[in-house]
Amino acid sequence: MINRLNEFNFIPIPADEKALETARQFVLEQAERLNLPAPIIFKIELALEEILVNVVHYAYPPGTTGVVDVGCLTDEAGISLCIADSGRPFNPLEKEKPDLDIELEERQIGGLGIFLTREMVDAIEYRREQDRNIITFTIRKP
Amino acid sequence: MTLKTTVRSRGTDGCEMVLEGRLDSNTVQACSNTLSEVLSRPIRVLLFDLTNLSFISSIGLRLVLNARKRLEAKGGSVLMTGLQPQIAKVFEIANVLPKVSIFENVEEADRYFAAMQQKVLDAQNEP
Repeated sequence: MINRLNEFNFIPIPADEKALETARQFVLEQAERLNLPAPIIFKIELALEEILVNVVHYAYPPGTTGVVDVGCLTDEAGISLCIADSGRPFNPLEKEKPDLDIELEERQIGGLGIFLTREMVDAIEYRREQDRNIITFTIRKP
Repeated sequence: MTLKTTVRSRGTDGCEMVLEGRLDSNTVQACSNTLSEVLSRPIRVLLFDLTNLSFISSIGLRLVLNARKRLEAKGGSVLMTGLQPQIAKVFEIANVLPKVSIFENVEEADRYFAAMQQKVLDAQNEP
């Protein structure tokens, strides 16, 4: 999917506390044309939140607001999202799979969100390119 | 999209939190404030009624699990009822279901609280 980024519809969003709601509305509008069932929408929303919240909290130094680009591509196979930022290099997929037998509170911050995301999506990839973190993931139609 | 949180007393030392809407990064703070107030009460059982909860993310999951941890630390427990399939799936993936008791529906929870209440009354009536 990362090879088809030129086909995605992108919007730039300030990476602040309001970013999630703006991104969510944008993605849901894009997804609407696919007429996806509720469980699929749930997966999209969950993956979007977990990845985006990581960017909002960790990509840029405290006190500064960068931009996060949220992109969407819908086709007959399903929906793909791209979340890209110009912050410090960070590959959330490198986080180790959380040990689910350890108390939730003791697990690494962000680890659980990424773990849930991996379970929800059909494919996910990370690339560092031109000083940008680029994450794309795909959720297929049932 | 928002979250509506309703708190009700249940029996002598129980409480019920009805969560309706979405428990996500945008709504978790208000819910967390309400929860702190609830957990400061002398309760032993907290029931989350999730019948009308349509969405939960990892931060919402943490909230429920933190409540369980704090309540269990003082000998209490957290119960849940009315999980929609997608919500149940999230709890299942995170492997936390065996640690939280789940009721099929509110009626089942009602019977549980009634039985608890009866136990308290029986204990009081013992000579």
